[in-house]
Amino acid sequence: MRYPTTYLEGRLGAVMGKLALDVALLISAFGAVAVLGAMLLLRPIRTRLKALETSMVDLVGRDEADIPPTPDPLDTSFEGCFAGFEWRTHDVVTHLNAALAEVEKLDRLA
Amino acid sequence: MRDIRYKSLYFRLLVLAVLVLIPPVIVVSFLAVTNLEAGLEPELQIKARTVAEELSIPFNKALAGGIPIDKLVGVEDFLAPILKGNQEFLYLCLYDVAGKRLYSVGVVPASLDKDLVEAGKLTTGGSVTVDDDFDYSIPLHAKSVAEGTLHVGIEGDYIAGKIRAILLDVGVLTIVFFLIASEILLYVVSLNVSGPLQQIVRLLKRFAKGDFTEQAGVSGLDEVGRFTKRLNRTVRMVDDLYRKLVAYVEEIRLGHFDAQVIADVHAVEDRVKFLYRFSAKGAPNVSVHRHALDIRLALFLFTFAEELSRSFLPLYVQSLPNSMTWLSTEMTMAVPIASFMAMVALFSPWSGAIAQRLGSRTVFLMGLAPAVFGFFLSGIAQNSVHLLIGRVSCGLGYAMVTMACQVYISSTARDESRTQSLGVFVGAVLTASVCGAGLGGILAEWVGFRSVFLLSAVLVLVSGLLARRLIDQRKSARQVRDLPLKERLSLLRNWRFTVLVLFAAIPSKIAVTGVTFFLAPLYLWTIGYGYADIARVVMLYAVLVVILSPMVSKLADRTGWRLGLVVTGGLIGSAGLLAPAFGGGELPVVISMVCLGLGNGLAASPQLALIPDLCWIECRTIGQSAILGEVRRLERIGSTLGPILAALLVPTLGYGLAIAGLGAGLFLMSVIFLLASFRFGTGIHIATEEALE
Repeated sequence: MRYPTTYLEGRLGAVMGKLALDVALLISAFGAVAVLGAMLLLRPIRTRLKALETSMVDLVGRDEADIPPTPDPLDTSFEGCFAGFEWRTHDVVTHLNAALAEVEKLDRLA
Repeated sequence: MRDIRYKSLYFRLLVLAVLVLIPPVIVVSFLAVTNLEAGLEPELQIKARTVAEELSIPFNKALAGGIPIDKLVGVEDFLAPILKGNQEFLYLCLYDVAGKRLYSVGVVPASLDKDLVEAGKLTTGGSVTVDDDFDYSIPLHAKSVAEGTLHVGIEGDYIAGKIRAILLDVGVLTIVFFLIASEILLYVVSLNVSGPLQQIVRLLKRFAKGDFTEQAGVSGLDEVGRFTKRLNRTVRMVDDLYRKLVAYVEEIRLGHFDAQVIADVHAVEDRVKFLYRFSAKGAPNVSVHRHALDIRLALFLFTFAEELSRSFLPLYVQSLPNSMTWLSTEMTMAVPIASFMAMVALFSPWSGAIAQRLGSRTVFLMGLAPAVFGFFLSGIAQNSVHLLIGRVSCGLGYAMVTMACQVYISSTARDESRTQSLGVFVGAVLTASVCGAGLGGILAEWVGFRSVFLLSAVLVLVSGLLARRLIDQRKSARQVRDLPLKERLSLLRNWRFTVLVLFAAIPSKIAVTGVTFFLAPLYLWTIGYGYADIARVVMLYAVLVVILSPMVSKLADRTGWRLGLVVTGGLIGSAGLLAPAFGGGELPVVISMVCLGLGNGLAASPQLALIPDLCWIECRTIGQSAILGEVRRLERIGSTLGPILAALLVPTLGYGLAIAGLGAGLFLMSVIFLLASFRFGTGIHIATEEALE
């Protein structure tokens, strides 16, 4: 059906304009709810990332005896991968410190 | 479950988007429709009274001049333009005081004469409800003596029809905006959450193996960004420790007098290098991970911009002065569509090649120039030649941008996820076709054709802004080469391939461009449909293809019934086009669109999946990707031919029968494909077996 180019078109246009405005206002109101909802949905991920971030703080300067738990190589989850990284980082830092100490010792002995 | 499930996260966010979008639309639509219904009826009555009062003035003058009411001349001619200009009016007529209808234009209800007598309105005038319609009358006088009445009939269904149209528009808009919202959401989740986290997981796995050569190239101030910064800092601290060791060893090597010490420290360094890997560049390399979803929103916006004009393009050409007078009117309307398709077909191989050489981002941005110019020129076109040049330019831009996207997606995909990644391309294009077809018609009705083209130009620029942040790759390892003529001919010598292309792939494209893009909009326009109504009908095709394609793809993979699906799809699609031969109006076109959507939804994916079965040898000698590219190129011959063939049929058959005529030809081709398919045999070894015979 074609919209007629008459007086009624003006009336319809006004109604459609109001409709669009109402939709925009309502969506804005619902939008605030949506932002809150999205933040709630993302909260678990954010919490987990924060926890892992905290555990990285002293990873390099950590005491050698403070060995992170041995990772499960079959665990492919985010935490599983992070555990592998944490363990390996401790391992490499321990090795590098030991290597530096050994080199220093060899240098002094001579 | 400890793992981060990105799909689940996206789905939950999508549900949230639905909850945000749908309730306001329902509430506001309900309120608006209620207000409209209540407000429009009195407005119609006021209008009927105003028109009747205005029309009565010349009649009263004539009657006052002594002309008897039954001797007035040219009354119908006088009333006809008024009726034509006001679509809510059913009729205009004059009665004498005895209740005899003297003059009328339009469709007067049979019961009006009786109802007027019963209501006693033949001398006084007033309003009467006749069946479901509304009659307003005003008395005609000759020197204060009532001589008769002038009647204005208003269609009772007019308001309901308007409300129906508005609700349909709201429904289409809701679907379109929901799809757009889901595309944006997918992009945002991919850009900010899933993409960076996937990259981090990939790096964590490398670190866990002792490979510290890379750090994450993720920035941002959110949790993901902060986590990445901390991770990078840790990796750099480990790297610094390593550099300290290397520097100390180097110092000893250069300055120490004891060769044994030098050998011993080197042994220590070698042990570390054996156990762990560090970057040779003096610091960890910044790792940037490219994902197929990076380009999806840009591709969606670009194709959406192109699809906006799909449902009304022939009508726009029709509205412009024809500068190609050597062509028939129909051909003038068909040529811009066919030219666009021809440009896409001609320039796609070249665009693919330069995208591989210069990088997808560069070619995407280069493609924006002809696209923006094309849309702008189409928007300001003063005649059909301007529009033709605009469409040709858009075709070049479309070829460059879509091929740049294909190359980008192909280069990000590992072999096992190639199909899934190409699904990103198909998904974006199909979603854009639904949104573009639906919204384009509504926008054309609200703001006009020209504004829609200018909006398309703006959308294309926005897609360019999104594409700017892509990371370019050059000389992709996985290049899809253009087939040389010799290999092309060898492919066509495989009769199964040729039959599939000639009798299944090309006909389906002829139907899409010939009917959906050309004949259906024109036919619906001629029977009085508006742009938004046309868009809704055309949109049916795209909606069905979007819904069916993924399901059929899985079904074909699971059951292996690819050939059957191609045959069934071809027969359903072409048979549906015969519907306009059995009657006029909207319903046959709707049936055609639904059948075409069903047919292409069933046949499109299995057509491509059939290639490895039919071209077993060629897939190994030429390469499957190259053959699939060739099928797409040959298909575009059908896309180009579709509107041209349709335009050739229209002068002799008219729009409705031209759809049926095209359908009959395509049905015949589907039957030939069906008969040929009996000889296809089964199994992937058929070509080898034949070679051995």
